[in-house]
Amino acid sequence: MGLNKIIGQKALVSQLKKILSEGRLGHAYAFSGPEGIGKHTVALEFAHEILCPFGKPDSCGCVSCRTFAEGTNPDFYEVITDKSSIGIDTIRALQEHVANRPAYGHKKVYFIDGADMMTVQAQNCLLKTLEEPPEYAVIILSAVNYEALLPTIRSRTVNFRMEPYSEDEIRRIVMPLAPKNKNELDFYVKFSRGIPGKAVRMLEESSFRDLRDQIIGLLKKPGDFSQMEKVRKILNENKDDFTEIIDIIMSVYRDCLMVLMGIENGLINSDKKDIIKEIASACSKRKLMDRLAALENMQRNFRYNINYQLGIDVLLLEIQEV
Amino acid sequence: MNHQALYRKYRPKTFDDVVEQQHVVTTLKNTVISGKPAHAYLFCGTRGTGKTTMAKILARAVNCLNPKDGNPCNVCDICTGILNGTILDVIEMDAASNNSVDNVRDIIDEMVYTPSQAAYKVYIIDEVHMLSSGAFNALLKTLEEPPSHVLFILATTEPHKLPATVLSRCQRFDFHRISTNGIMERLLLIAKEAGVTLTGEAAHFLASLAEGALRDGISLLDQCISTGRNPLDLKCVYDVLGIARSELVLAAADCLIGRDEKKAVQTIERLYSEGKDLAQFLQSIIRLFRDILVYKTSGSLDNILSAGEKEKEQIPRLAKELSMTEALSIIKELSDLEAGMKWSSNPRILTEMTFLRVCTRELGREDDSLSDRIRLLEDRIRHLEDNIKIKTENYRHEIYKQEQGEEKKADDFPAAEPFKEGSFAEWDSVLNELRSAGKMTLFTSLAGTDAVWIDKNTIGIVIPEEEAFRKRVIEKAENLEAIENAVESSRGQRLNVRIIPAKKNDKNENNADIPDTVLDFVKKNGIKLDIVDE
Repeated sequence: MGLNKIIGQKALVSQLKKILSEGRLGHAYAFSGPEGIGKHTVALEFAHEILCPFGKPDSCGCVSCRTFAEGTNPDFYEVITDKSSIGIDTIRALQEHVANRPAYGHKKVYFIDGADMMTVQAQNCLLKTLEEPPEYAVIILSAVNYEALLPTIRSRTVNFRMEPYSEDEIRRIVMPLAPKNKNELDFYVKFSRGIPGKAVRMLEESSFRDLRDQIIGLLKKPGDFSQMEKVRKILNENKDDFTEIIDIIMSVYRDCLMVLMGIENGLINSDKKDIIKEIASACSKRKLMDRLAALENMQRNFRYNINYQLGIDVLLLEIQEV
Repeated sequence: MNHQALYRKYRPKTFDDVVEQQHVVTTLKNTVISGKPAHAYLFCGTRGTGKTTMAKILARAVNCLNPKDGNPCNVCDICTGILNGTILDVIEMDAASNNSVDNVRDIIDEMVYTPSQAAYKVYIIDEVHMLSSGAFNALLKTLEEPPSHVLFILATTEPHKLPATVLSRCQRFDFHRISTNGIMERLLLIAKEAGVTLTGEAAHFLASLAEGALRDGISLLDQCISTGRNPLDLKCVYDVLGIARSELVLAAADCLIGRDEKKAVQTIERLYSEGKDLAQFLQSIIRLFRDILVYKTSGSLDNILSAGEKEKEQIPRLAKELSMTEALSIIKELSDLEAGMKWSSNPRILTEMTFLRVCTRELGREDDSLSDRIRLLEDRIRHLEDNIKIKTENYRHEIYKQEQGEEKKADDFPAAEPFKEGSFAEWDSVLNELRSAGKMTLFTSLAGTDAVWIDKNTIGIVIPEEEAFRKRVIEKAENLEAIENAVESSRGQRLNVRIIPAKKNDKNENNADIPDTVLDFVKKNGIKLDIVDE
């Protein structure tokens, strides 16, 4: 256990280790990066190392490490919420807990996962604690959207951005799972946008591949209303995978745009070049841009909880018309 | 292992230590020297400008046993007591987590007791904007007339959220953003004390990233120091913060300016494969375009935010290639993108689209490019119209030549017909001229009318008497002027324009009010007929 077990993110890991070994540990850190990049994992391992009084959690058998592994270490406090936001009460509870001295070691770690889900009130509530907690407390935040946090919070924390893995790294990670077809592997590498969790999940779930083939097939004839009807059916049946489906459609149109501009190397759907070319030949750049804008727009709207059914209808109409 | 974050470790302890904010420092020092502090202060300003710090210093300064020139000595019992938290007379309260009426009532209850050791009981209420409205109102009376031993210091980043009744009871101090130079000097000082060499270039860049908030700057420095690299140079800062190299930013800017869509997309591809953060990249490129704009207007590199030498070399060249409006519209597109990216699950595609839009005029959706496109269309139409006009004029010239033989007229404009009684032949082209000049009201008012010669230098527009409205429009000074201009440009001769009322179906007859004999006389002698309407 410990930071050593983390694959990749070498720069980050060595930086964290350096902080610990040189005794420069501050009181407020944030890990930010896209979903599935490993923020939670890194934060937990970092916390583990902070808490171990002997500084070597890999082989340590001390109470702190044992309990941490079991998830019962009283010096580790994780804010877990099942709601879509973290409210002020949760933060108040945390603050009460901060007042108690550590039980085993000389440090306590507070971890707020999904800190960007804190309400504005909750963030304000946290400000003073975040600026000057007791000397034994370390507060770790994780956020997909670091910029969504209040500037006053951001200015009090040292932020570590978890960078997307490079394409080569992803390729190496997913190689054992990979399909034989090299082009198809390229698609997963590109589509995952440097997030290993995503690439692995896509490869493991065969349904994703079917879904993609189905959608790309349907996109071939955007003018045909019955085809659009089928897309709608897919969207209705896979409501949970909505984002992914939209992503697939967007990647297809984006590739068409690239083909129209004469760039054929950087395609996301490089294994489906022929189909992409076919779709591209029937569209103008402007049309594609408008469609992409419509898709992007709709994805944002769904985050604001608009009516799913209506949203899809509007989206499909727009794709068809524009 | 009691390491403290740098911004806590190097929090100023005396007024003189505070970076900038001279207007606040001088006033507060004088208050301390005079020994008559007000009972309520309000410190506002953006994050990291020194509000809490100033409040803490003030709390010590008013209580210090032997203040030096208004500064707390930080060595007397009281000062040290406050610093290490053993004196309970300075209460620092977090209003964001204690924001209810009950919390305020607690303050009111305990406030009546005189301070235990210090001279003043100081309440520092930080993040005061988060108090509930009930809590604010509960505080009002106390804030207005607290006991003489109590001092309130409220601090907030958002003073507009405070009720006016609170604002009017406090001495308000607005903290300014700290200048880049101020932050830079402080960072260099801190780095030196922390035993790290920080290059001037890197310090300047960190300072410009901090945007006037010193704590942001110090946090960034902290992060850079924690990599353990020494000395810290610009490249190192770029690496730590995931900022793209200057070459990439400049390359992208070049693509956008040169409208090279292919290369623009490839630059994004490169960024991605190197695992750089798009948001950071966008910020740097927006900064670059902002610098280009600044350079264009001021002509100097003094107020440039981009730190790298490479940028400084390139900015003058880029500025030459870019017009002001283009630069503005690019910045607008990019900042829209920056805002949109926060919520997008597809930042890459979004970026690519924006780059394409900037590169290809026809794809733009924004107002700027729309007006661009309209201007293009207008130019084309004008060009077309000019061609038509030249053709008709040439045609008319031909006819005139045919009529007159090769005989040259002494008149100034060859195409102009000589003065002769009766209708004014170029009237239609005058009307067209007005229409293409966009004088639509005037054009519609004139439509269907005729014009006649009155004398050599004057023509009259015949308006039916019943249509007084038309007359009123036409006889406006600016409209008459416009007609005269149009006549001049289609005939090449400046003529006076008059309005002649006419009965219906009596267009050719100049004026029924004037007796025929007079008209005859006028015509024969070529007298200027000046009809004044009332």
